[in-house]
Order: sequence, then structure tokens, then C-alpha cells
Amino acid sequence: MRRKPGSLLPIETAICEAAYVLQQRGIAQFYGYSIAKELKHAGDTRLLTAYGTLYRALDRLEHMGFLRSEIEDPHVAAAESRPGRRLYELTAAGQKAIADVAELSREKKGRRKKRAWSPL
Amino acid sequence: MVSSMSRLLSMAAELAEVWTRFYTLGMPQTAQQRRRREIASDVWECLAEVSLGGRRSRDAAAEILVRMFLGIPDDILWRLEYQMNTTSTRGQVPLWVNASGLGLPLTALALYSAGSFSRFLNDSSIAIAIRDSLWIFPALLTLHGIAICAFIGFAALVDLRILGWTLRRTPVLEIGQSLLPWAMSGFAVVVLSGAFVYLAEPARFAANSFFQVKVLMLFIGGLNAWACYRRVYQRASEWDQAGQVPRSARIACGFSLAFWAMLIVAGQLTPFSS
Repeated sequence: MRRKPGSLLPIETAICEAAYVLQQRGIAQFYGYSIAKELKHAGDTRLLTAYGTLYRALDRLEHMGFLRSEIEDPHVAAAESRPGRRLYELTAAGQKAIADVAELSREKKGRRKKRAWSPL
Repeated sequence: MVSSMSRLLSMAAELAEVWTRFYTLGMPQTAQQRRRREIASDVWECLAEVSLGGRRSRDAAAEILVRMFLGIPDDILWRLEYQMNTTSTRGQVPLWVNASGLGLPLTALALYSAGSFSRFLNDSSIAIAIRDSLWIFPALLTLHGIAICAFIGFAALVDLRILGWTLRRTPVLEIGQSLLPWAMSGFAVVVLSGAFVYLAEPARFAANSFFQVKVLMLFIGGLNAWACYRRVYQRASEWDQAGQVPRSARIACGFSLAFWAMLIVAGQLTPFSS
């Protein structure tokens, strides 16, 4: 099934929200493993998101312009003796997208409430 | 860090790396390196937590394996999407014909290697372990059988839809997007479990003519299906809009069904050939 252009899948919304939470905590950039842990924490699940699902979603979000990414400075990675990370950052378009999703879900809740209290 | 890792954990990390290498094979260097580095970094972070004492190595190994296996359908879809967005050339000869043709030399190469290495493999520790265990071989055979059913079942449904023999009201693209990841995951399990089944008695299998036919069908059918399904991702929306599927795609799917049928027959007859 094709989705509407600009609409987000649940995993994409979750990633953007997790990125936003990290941003609010002063962590502007994140990498795959860190966002997987954040998603696990936010979703209160036992498992981290599968590799394929996570990186495919990150790829899509970058293509949609909601995230941007860059390769970490190799000196930093070398200093810590680890492989280099790809660092992602939530863009202004990404922030707007999660604000839109939140607005939409508020509207839906409101409609449901109204229906629940309707005398008919 | 490596010294503190359990064997299971290092095996899980290696398996994740091998799988990533496999599904990114043949991609342009930039995209390939990007995905491989990202997974390597992710796995490294997990291993680092174990070496710092933050978690048990058994849990980390299980996590790596589960994340890898659950992500396989998305990995395959990602690869297909990448292919779909980057390839636009179409040759004179249909791709599925080229792909099926490629199956013959590949099968010959695989069977030649299997024959040459059969004695060496026969005495390997894995082969002995599979032969000696009461439950490993039956478990592998059961997994192989279930995977064949799942893989051929899903693939046949897609083929039948493209042929227009069933589910005509459902768009080809929808059927393809829902079932092909499962069919491809099934194919991966069939090949993996089949390799271990073969390892139980390499010398006997290598000389078995029905087994050779089965391998041939697997290669030709697999490549034919890959070429045909790639077209599904590229052109299915056009087919749905036009309301008909091109003849070449229907022929490829007809062949695909025939290959799978022969694969099942050859598989069933394998134990009866001396």
C-alpha cells in the first residue's frame, strides 16, 4: 500500500520524537545505537529495534529531509579506538513533522471524545 | 575487548557482519560502505557495553542475533528500493532470461566445488557434530522443510497473481510488497539450512543426481525470481494502472512456478537416489 507523501510511519515518528527528546536534553546529534536505545526506553520494550528496520527508517527520514547526517570526525573515533559513527540530526522540517503528527493525534483524540459524549 | 567476549557473542557479531556484507554485495561503494560501517558501529557499541561490564555477553549475543534476523525483511526491501531508485536501463534481452542463464554456470561451479571439497567437508567437525547428534539433523531437516513451504508458498502466490490466476482484485504492487520480503527471508533460510543439511553427508549428497537437480533449480529459480520480482518493484504500479501485466513478466512467473515444482520433486526424490 502506498502512503501519502509527507506522512510518517510509526517507526519514523518514534525516531523523530526520540531525536527531539535528545535535542531537548542538549544532545543535538545521535547515532544508530543511541537512537535504538532511546526508542527502547521510550517504547518500554525489551528489545532494541532491528538493524534493518532502524537503518532503513533512518535512510528514509534523511531522504525526506527530516534528518541530516554526516560522518563523525575520524580523529574522534580513532582517539576512542572505535569505528566511526554516522551522526544524525533532526532538521527543522523534522521538528515540524512531529509537531504536525502531535497536532493530528490531538485532533483525533478530540473527535473521539466528542463522539463518546454525543447523545446520539 | 575481544578477549572478554564469549564465543557466542563473537559469532553473533560475525554473523551480523557476514549478513550485512551479503545483502550489500554489488552495490555502489558509497552506499555499501555506509551501511556496512553503520552496522559495524552499532554492533561495536553493543560489544563495548559487554566489555565494560554493563551487560551479560549472552544477552548481548541474543540481542544482536534477534535484531539481525528481525531486520532481514527490511534489509531486503531496502536493497530492492535502492535498486529501484538507481537502475533505469533496460536491455534487449529480458533480465529474467539473463538471470536464469547465469544460474547454469553458478550451479556448475557450486556442484564442482561441493564435489571437490566433499571429502574435506565430510571429516569437518561441523559434519561430524551434525551426524553424531540425535536431534540436530532432524531439526535442520524440519526447518528446511518448513522454510521451503513458506518460501515457495509466498513466491507462488506472487507468481499466480502476476499470471492473473488469483487475487485479481488486489494490486500486484500490494501483493509484492506484502509477500516478497517473507518469500525472500524464506529463501535465505532454505539456503542456510540446506547448506547445513548438505554438511551432514557431503560425499553422498555431492554424488546424488536428484540433489544436483535441486541445486540447479534453486540457482536458476532463485535468479529468475530475483530478476522478475525486481521488475515487480520497478513497474508494478504501471501494471496496476494499465490493468495488465506484460507478457515477459508472465512467462518469467510461469517458469518460476515450474522451477519451484521441480525443486520440490527433486528434493523429495533425493533420498531415493543411491
